[in-house]
Amino acid sequence: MKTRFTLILLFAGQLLHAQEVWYSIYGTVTDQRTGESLTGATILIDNTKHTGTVTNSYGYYSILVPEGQYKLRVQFMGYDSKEFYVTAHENKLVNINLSEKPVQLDNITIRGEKPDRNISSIEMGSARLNPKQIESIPVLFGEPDILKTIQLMPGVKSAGEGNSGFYVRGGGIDQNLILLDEAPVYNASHLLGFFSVFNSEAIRDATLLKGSIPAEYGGRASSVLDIKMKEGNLKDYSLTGSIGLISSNLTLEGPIKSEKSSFMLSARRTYADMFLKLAGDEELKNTSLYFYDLNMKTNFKLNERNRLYLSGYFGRDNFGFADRFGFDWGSKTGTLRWNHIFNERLFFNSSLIYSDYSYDINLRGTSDVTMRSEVRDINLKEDFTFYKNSRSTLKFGVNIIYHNFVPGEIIPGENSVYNALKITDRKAVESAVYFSNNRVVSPKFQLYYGLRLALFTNIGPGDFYVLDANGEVRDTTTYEKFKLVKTQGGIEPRLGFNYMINRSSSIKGSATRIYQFVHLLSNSTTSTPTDVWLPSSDNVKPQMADQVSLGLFKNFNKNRYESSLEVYYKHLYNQIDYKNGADLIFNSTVESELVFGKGWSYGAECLLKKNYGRLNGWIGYTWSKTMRQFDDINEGLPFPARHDRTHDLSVVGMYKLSNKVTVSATWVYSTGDAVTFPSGRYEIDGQIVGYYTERNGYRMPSTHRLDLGLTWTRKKTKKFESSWNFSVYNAYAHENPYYIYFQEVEDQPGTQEAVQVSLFKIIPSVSYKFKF
Amino acid sequence: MKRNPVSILIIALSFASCERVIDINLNEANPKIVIEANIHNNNSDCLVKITRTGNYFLPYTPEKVSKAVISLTNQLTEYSFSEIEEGVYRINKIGKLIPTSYSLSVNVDGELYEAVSKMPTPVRLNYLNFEYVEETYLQDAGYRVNFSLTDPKDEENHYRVRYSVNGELQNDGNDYYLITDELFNGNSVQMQLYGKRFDKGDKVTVELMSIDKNAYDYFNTLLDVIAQSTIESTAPANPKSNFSNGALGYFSAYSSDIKFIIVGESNLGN
Repeated sequence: MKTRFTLILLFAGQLLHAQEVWYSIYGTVTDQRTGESLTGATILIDNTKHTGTVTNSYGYYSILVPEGQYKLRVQFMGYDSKEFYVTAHENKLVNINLSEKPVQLDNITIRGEKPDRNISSIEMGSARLNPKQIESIPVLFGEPDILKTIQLMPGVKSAGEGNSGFYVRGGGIDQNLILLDEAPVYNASHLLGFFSVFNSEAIRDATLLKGSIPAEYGGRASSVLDIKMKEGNLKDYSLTGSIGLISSNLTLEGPIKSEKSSFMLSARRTYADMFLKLAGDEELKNTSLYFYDLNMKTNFKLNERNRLYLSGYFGRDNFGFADRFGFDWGSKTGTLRWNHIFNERLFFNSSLIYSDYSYDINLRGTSDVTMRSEVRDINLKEDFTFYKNSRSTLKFGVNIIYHNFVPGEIIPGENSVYNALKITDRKAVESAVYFSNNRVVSPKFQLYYGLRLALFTNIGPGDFYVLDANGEVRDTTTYEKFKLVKTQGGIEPRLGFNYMINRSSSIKGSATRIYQFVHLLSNSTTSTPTDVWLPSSDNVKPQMADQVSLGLFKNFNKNRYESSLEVYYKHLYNQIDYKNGADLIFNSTVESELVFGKGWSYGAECLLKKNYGRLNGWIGYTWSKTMRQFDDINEGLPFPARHDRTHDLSVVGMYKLSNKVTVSATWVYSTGDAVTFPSGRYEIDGQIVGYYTERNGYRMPSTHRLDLGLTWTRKKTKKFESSWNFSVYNAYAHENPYYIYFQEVEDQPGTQEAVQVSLFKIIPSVSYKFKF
Repeated sequence: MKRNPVSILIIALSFASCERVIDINLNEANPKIVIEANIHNNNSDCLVKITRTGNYFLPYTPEKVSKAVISLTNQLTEYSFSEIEEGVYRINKIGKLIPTSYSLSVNVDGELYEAVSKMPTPVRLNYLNFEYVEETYLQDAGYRVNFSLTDPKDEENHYRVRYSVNGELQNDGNDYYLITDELFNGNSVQMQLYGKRFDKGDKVTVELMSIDKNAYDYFNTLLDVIAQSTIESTAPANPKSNFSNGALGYFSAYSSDIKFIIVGESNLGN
């Protein structure tokens, strides 16, 4: 692998051209109305046809061109394009404003424009969403959720009905790096996964990377979901809000100092338990069950070259019962970022990031005990982008994360019968350096190559265990503070190419290796608050994924239709499963409850998408296979993963009936989960017990569902906007299996039957949205 | 004892769910030997029951296994068993067994199944008592029964609590109480028959069984299977048997202490 990579480097080096006098055109692309920066806007140099660049996540771009006059074209989806001339006889700062496209009813909304980013960029296996594009998609309880919309993309599978958890290309639920303003979010769900922690009112955009993952990202084996919060309007104040059946939210944004600094504050709270308060029953009245989210972001343009951002998230779920029982859990993140433009060609971002997830369970009365667990990160990231010339964009940087895991702590009250218990904290440093180059080899051929060195070091203080062949603890070694225990990890190559067959089609390929050093321990099929993150150690090797993918991309009808076909193969090393009866919570030697194996997944994904016009939406279909193999499970034979759903189809359509009314529909179909059912039975201790012969050898019935939505814009003026949103989840009331259990038939002792439990049948909802 | 707060949360969320009996085709596995062997220090019979597995959905009458040869040793003494009815074997011994380690071997048609279990030193019930509790939205009003034990400090203890009401053993999936002393090692604790309500006049008999870790693991994983109706469980698997040669079931040597209480009468004297 290493030698082959060196060859590619040499080969790429030979293609360097002698340079004439070149100048940079650089700057930021922003939204005309709000002043917020736009990520992923395309800047094209008309004269040279294929020269162009894309703004980075801070809206920054830089292109190097020979001296001369150029026609620049700037495009961004949902915005009006701009064209203008720039004379490059020196390095030129060109800041660009784009204005949002008014609602158009014509079929031909854009003329002469080629938003062909999906074919011309080197990215593959990626999807970008912004809340505006998806706001009319119908959702459960009328609560827009970016994680649920992402599940409608090919290659992404839902963790279960109504669940915000997701699987990407056969990877585990913990193999998605979910970033909120660069801060990893350890538990992205509220209320057992029925809602995500991302309040869509506070989100600017989200990008999912499932195929070619650039070298600046690492740490999770299967995908990256990079979510950016709104920056806050630099020009005007605005107050937006929505009132729904389940929750309400309010977002305030505006300038602190016009054009220089701005803020965004957003809050959301559910109030399902308010209904409980109305109940006559005393006990019901005393039950609380809610969650809330707070998002905050400010940004300061210190000058043309320096910009500061400060953003934070705080969210918590609360479940309590009078003064007897309390259970709360949630995440905190904070990000301080500094963008600095060293010169026209060197862009720098430095981030200091804090991330935390914790839960507390309080039992009062005779137990009188508090149980808690936490994971906490401090993360320093230094990223450079060097626009070397019009053919090469270099990125390099370092990342150091200090992890602190508090696996479990039991704090007894004064009268408690329990003893105190503190499982020693686990501390570790995760570090990475990376380098990459996106090289335009010829107008038709682009090459991406990068390397990331990812390391993970356990450090003291703490107890580390020596396990015997059966995984039982044989010996314990106690390490002192700052003592290095074990370092693991390695080199991750990241490769990609794009070959343009013609102006409307291209072939892309990529190869990626990624290490993952933290692992989610969960004994349920959905995300639960007591899920524990376990660091790699002397007993737990890092997970690793190798993925190769190949894709064909074609646009039709002047880019009005995008289509793609991608195939992938992914191999997963050091996958984790549990011993029978494993105890994952408050267990100091939880490492001894694990078994290790491998996994693999392959599949084909098709996407046909229409971006413009009255009718838009997409059809996504995935055929895939996902397997696991463990020496200690299923007699060592391979078995399908639970989420091995062979067929997965999503149809999403939005249609503008008039300027005021948009209707939408989504239909999803997927093969049922692979599950374990008994193949025989016996009686023990008076119980009927199933006899299991193979892991995941059976299938749940397949699932399908239609959701409908209607958005009615009541009023739209410069000062005030309001709209109603109606939706129906599972419109034809199909009973989709949530789980299946077996029981004795009533009146027929000794005879068993299978019972299917379905969750949601026709859930209508309504919400009202306003904006000042 | 096994349920964690998450399952309560699931109950709270299941407002919108609906249930339906469905048809599922299950394969029929080759019949497998199932051995249930209990020996203990009290006056009832020490029994070994041997059956084979059968079709999952068909009305079930266990296929009983006769003519097995069973022997039990504790290094000092060897005991034999006699088949007292089809598939049920009783120890040939009068009097109580002493707490020590036992090996059991079961020979069925030349196939040998072996297991080891250590009978713990008995832990006594300190007392039983009852108290009246008002209705909560998860439970009816009624009498709750508590029991108390003093956990020995220097050892890892595992318990199973069984109870009967008016002489009838309560034996549903949610009647299992499995306890480890992990969190209260060496303490005197009072616990409740969690989630159970009794009527005035009920005679409640509580048996505190001291079991070894293998038996605890067996019942713990057995519970995972018989209470597999929520999203909480991962893929179900056969309970962790301590028998060799792939037999299902368990061999448990336990010591027990039994007390009873008449609910609604005096709490004293128990």
